Amino acid sequence: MQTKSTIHNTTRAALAALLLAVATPLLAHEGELGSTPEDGATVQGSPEKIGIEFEGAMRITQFDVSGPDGRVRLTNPPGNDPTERYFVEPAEPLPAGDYQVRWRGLARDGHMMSDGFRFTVED
Amino acid sequence: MAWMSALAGVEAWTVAMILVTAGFYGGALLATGVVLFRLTFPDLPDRERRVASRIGAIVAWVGIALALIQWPLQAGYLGGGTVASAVDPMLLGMVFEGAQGTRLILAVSGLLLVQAILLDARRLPWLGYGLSLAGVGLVMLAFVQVGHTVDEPRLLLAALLIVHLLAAAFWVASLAPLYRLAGHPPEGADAARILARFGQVAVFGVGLLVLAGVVLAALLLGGVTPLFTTGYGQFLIGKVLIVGLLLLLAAANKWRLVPAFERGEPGAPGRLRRSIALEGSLVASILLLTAVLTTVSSPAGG
Repeated sequence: MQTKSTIHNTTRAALAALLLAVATPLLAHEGELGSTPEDGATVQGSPEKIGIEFEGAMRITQFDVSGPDGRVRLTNPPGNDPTERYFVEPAEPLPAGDYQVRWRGLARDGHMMSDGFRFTVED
Repeated sequence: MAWMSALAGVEAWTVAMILVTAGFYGGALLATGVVLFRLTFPDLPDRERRVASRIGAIVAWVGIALALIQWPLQAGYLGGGTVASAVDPMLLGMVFEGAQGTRLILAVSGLLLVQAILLDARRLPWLGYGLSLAGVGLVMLAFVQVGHTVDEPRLLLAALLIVHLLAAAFWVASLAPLYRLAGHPPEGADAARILARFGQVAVFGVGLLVLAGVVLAALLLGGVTPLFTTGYGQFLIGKVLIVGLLLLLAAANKWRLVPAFERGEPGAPGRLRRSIALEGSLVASILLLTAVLTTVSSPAGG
């Protein structure tokens, strides 16, 4: 029974490895044209706008910005109608630090999508 | 166990979406494939015909249930992977209004119609097959509502995917009846004749499956390089490797195990059944990999 148990464990481990390998955010289908600030960019002072542009229309359903003080409060969210440009404004100027943006949306072809980008704010 | 603790950090919502999608693929392909198998082999022994139809009906209901579960899972994903967003009317409405909603309606109505295969073919020879074939058509249309087959050239991409799926459905649905037939002694119930004829039909079906799959992949990826540089391409390579194994098994069945079964060699039925069962587990891994491929990657974005 040792062999059977080993095979069973190997199968489970392989399945787990597969799921781990793929449990990353969905990749953009519509083609991201770019983000503001750019992914990995360092900006001087708080950015006025944070957002993302797509090649085709996307319905953004979640757009979170988090930084050194936790989640950033955002104003003027455009809603979740199909759009090629989705931009929000920080409610208060962002203090210096590293920021991460995570978004989710529904692409025109019906795919659930998710991605994100990072930027750094310097005084 | 390290892998178990590592798994705890995985986003469970995405994993659930992948597993439910794989299950839906399996249910939909099996249910539609049973109709094709019954049409291809009208001379199946009565008992096998009834069992095949019953399996088709059960997996059709499984497919319907999983298609319905996909809906809140998708809404929940859009809202950040929470139960609250899975039941959020706005997100549910957004999913339903789009391509996923069309796919859901087509899949559910198709899988309901497929079950007309249960109607007694002797009393209602055309009604059962007619309705269930219409169901097969709707399920196939459901598959081309979402994803990159909606891009141009849409008709060509959709037609290729449907051919690929029809051939896959026939193959997947043939495994259970062939497994059962392989348990019969060769002189009984024309099992050997049906198994041999399946080998002939399968060559044609597998040819279509591979050809349509390769052309579709080439059109979607637009070259050989993305096959190696994108996640989608790499998943596809994995899928092709498993399909390769499956083809080896199918070839062994056709040229070695079925002839041995026909000759009534002792042990041949057991070997053939083991081989078919192994085919079944490879098919399950292909469905899982396909669900991964269509859920988390894209030929355009990686």
